[in-house]
Amino acid sequence: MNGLSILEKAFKLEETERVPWVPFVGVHGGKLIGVDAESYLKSSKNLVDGISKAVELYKPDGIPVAFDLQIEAEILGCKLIWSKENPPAVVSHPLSEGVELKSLSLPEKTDGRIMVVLEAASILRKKYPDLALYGLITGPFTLALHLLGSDIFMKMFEEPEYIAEVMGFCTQVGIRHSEMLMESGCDVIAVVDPMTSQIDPMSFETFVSPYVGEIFNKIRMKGKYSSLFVCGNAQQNIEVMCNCHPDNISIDENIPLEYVRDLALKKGISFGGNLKLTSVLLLGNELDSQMEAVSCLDLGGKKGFILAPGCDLPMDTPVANMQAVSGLVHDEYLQEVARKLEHTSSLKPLNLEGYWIKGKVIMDIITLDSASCAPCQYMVEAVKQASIGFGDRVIINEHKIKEKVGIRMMMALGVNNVPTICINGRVAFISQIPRKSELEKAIKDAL
Amino acid sequence: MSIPLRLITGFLGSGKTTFLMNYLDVFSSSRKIGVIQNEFSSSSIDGQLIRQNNGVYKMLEVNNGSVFCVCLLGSFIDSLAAFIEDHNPDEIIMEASGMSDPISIGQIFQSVKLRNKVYLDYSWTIVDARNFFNMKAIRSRLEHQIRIANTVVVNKIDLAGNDIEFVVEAIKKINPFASIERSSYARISFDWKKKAFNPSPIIESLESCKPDLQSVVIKSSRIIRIENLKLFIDSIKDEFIRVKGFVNTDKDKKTIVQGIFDDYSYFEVDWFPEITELIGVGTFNNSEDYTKKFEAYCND
Repeated sequence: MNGLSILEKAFKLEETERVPWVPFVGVHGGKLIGVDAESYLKSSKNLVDGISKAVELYKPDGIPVAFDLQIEAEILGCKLIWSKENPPAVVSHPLSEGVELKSLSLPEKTDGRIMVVLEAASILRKKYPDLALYGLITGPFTLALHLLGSDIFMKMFEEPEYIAEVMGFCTQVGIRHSEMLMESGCDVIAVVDPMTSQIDPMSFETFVSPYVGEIFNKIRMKGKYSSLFVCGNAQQNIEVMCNCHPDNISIDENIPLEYVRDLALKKGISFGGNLKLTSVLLLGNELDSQMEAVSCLDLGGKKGFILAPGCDLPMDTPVANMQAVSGLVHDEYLQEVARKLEHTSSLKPLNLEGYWIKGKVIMDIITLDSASCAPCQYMVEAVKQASIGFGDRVIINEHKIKEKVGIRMMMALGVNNVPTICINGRVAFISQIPRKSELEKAIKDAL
Repeated sequence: MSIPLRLITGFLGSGKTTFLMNYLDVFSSSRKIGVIQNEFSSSSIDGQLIRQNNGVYKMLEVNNGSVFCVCLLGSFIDSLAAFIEDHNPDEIIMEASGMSDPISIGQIFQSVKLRNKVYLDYSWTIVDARNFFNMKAIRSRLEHQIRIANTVVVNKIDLAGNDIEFVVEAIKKINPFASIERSSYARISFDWKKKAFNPSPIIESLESCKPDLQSVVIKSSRIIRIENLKLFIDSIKDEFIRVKGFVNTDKDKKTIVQGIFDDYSYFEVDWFPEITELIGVGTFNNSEDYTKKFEAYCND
């Protein structure tokens, strides 16, 4: 089943064989091809190369063409500060600096950096016909905040009619931008509106719902899919977000996934998220990333859930961590291993004092359970076969992580992957089952 | 020795920058202070105001949503680590964007680059007394900031008229443990002997020991029975000097907890839509995952 098909099933709340996976590769694509964030976001070629590399490495079902919530704001007159590692930041707000709303126009294809993204989308569409392409637009409330600054929060109370006008304009900007993205081949339009996490449900219903709802209707009329993406602490707004009838809502780690799942499914809306970005994907290791991913998979389930990072991947996210997640998405064995390792924080490593025997080679094999798991069984068998010629000079111990003592041994040996072979306390072979000759050589070297 | 970071939060116009300037007026000549400013909107105006202050301090301006968006926290970690390395301040005072999440700020101190170098020591939330009840649209964000504050500074009391005591009452309902200071022009007494200011009354007394303090944030969506919460707190008292936060102790109840050393208070409130968040300061075991340890006491 191709990426777009599996995502369509998720959007329609049909059960899927596995959970679809959509890594939000924004400026991280620049890291993959060795360019900084500014160069990445200003060049169609760089976007295509970066996303192509991400597709190769992370095997996604869907991926955004670009993650940049400043494109519309820049066209409308907001000043940006560029950065080597992040998307640019908006640092001026025209509507608070004397510019009148009526002087602003809807964007054209040739304005700003719109064409950079549209060209990239067209090329990626031809290159990956089965991949779901996400086109991102800035949600109308966040765009309104870019134009007005934080004054918007007081003006919502003091000048609601004016805010309604601004929101109306920002909605038309969003619709125009969505149309361009869809024409260029995007299958899913993600309306990214993080600033709505700042407001309460009643304000959301007044100042956001009718506007994003209009955008979703336009997308639906074109036969494409829509996602409402709000990062930040938006738990108070999940219900009203669903009531806007996007095909999907997407959230970050600030909101419990099970809370979103229960509410979204009740409303008939698919949902996505919410791998921890900084503490796990950026700063953790592969094992952390896999444990986080399986936790999300188990909470989200196989109906209506799309696995994704909570937000735009930090540029320096280790490739290995993302590959650990994508590997696990496609491999139930790895999921099972990660589940077993999940509850280890309260365990302490075994004390290996007195464990080693002079003159003997101790082969420790960390497995899920060779009795019930094929890769583990082959690993144990391979070690046994290779050890025959050495008689009782080789001692073979299997440590099953289904058991707490197995996990404690894994911790004591410093093992991060399963299955793994250690020889006299050193990690020797990870995941791959070594040839007999390789094992025999390793044992000889240890003796 | 790790550096205490003191946080100023509050929405735009509440008086955060004025508060910061008052703080620098009093302390910048006697301490080496690092100043961090983050505004989601243009910061050049506020930055200029601060620079006009004649005190001696080093400044880090963060002009994007770094301290708001989880996707940008990594970049802030790098900036802060470099700032500490370059300037080695005695303390850091940070004016955070009104839209930033103080808990996210606390979380980054557990990262490898910042652990043992800086800890979240104290936070003030500045509230505009005149507009407090008008800020309906952003109520939940404002309440979140008040909830994690050590001191809430009710500012612009000269403009609030008779509403001031209603504001104070509302704040006490949100955070029964915070100290409350009433002020005009964000001026409060910075007499360190007064509890309102003394950021770390217990920790100050440990000055001669100079412990290496850290802060840790525990976030969880799980529910924990109140008796298990107390057991959890008991289990960490050796390592945590101070803990505060709000915890899901039932489907429709939350418990606000605060304590120093052995003295803890628990206050039950109606549920609001946020996950459990606890901030602790102490001398920790770096390899311990305290969120997982907390969740081991949860009952669901």
